[in-house]
Amino acid sequence: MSIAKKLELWTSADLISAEQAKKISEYEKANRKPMLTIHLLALAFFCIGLGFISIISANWQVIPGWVKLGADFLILMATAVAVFKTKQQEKDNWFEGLLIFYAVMILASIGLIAQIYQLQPYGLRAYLLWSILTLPLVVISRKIVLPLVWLPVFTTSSIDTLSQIPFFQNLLDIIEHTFPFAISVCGILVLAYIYRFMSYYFRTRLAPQIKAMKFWLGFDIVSLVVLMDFGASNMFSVIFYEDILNGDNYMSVLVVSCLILANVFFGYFSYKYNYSRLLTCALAILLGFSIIYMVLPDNKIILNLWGFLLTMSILITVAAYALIKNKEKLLNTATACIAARIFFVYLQVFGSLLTTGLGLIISGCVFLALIYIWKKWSLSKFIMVKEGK
Amino acid sequence: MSKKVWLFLSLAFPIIFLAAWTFITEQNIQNAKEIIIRAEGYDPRNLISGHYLNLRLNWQETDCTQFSDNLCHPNRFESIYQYYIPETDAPKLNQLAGNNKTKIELVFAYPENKNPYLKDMLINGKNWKELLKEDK
Repeated sequence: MSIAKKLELWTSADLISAEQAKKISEYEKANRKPMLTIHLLALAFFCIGLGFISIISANWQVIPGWVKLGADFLILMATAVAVFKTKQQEKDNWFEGLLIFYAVMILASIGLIAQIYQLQPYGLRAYLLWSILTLPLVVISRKIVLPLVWLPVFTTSSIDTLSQIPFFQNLLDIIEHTFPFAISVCGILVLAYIYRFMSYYFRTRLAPQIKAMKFWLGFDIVSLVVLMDFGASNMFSVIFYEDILNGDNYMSVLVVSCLILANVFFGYFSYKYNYSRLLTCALAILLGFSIIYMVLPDNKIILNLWGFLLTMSILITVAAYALIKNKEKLLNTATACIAARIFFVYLQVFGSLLTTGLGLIISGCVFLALIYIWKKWSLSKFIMVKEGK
Repeated sequence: MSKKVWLFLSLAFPIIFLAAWTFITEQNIQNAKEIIIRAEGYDPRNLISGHYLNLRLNWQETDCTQFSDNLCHPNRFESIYQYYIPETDAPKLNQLAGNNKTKIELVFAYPENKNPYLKDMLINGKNWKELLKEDK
């Protein structure tokens, strides 16, 4: 709800006077962030940086290598000085825009040096080098844009580089053969731990970086749920079962035990330091559902239903969280997704319109029954009391 | 350490690293012995470095007497190299590389204890830039 509507409601409910409402409205207008300017600045510097990369890629032969390198270093230094000055002058928006440009120019410089000296690419190491060189910039950034771009680049390039080291290659191989989506579940768990650690120690100092991490954690969980739900039965089933049956049983038990322990410890940590339970629940659901994939038969309907149950469990958890935390938009989104998934499962499992229709009517009746039970036994009070504790 | 110093170090670190990297690479190439190895080519392009030719080394047709012990050392080289080329010359070079009659050779700087650096490309015994100039 917009602030104007809220003020109108509060005024009509006699919570605040008309004069107070006017003052609040004026204060909000005066302190509104120049969102459009910030986003356009970020986009402008990102585009200019990409333009430089493109020009460098064209490999303009007329200019000798040393001139190109000299010009590149001059631009880098000029940008660094401009970033430094804008920070000193507290021009926050220009500082962030130039910081993004500087980061893109560092990538362009790596490309230019590699091009001039004909250096050979090894996997994604150029991107890993970029993420190491720009790490200090990500730390000093006060907006979410740079950390948001940096995080997936660093994660992907470091995994790519680590997977070329025999020890990590073996480790990834063992995890991969344990149960379907094991690597993704492990990756999300590691990211969740880093996120919790960062939020615990650097909550205020690295707020935009933690926000970016939260975004990617959410994105990864949603992507994995969608992939497990729709991918397991349609695309990957044969590959899963063949791969997993070839795995080492003792190692599999060890990996599964470690993951369960890590999940339990994560839950304990979150509970002890009073962090939201949503992440703990989502991780537990992901791990539980993916482990049980091991014992499911290679049957399309069963896999479809299992995927449906996974998505519903996650969505119901999100809805419960939204209800407890009074987040209306999130609750609406979760409910809409639940409705869409219910409709889709009937098409997936039954196929004909008659059975789909009957199934939907039964589902509707189940929801009505749930509302009745909710009201009759006052379950909402129970949830609120629990949360209060 | 003050915030100002941290900011300065954060901004200077990438420039210092890139400058050092450039200097060391230049020194390694300048001080290394040159050797020529036969290669066969095919194409596409790199996101941050532009167009390049994919070249596979052909050790059977390489003169191994260039090495100090008169023996070829394929283990010290990659099996496939990317040679970055200008966008404007890419179609012509692709066409040449795809022709069976074209003799492609790669010139390497061959330092004693480091990975070899790809320096230049020869087409039918001539530097590719000179060859394209003559064609124009």
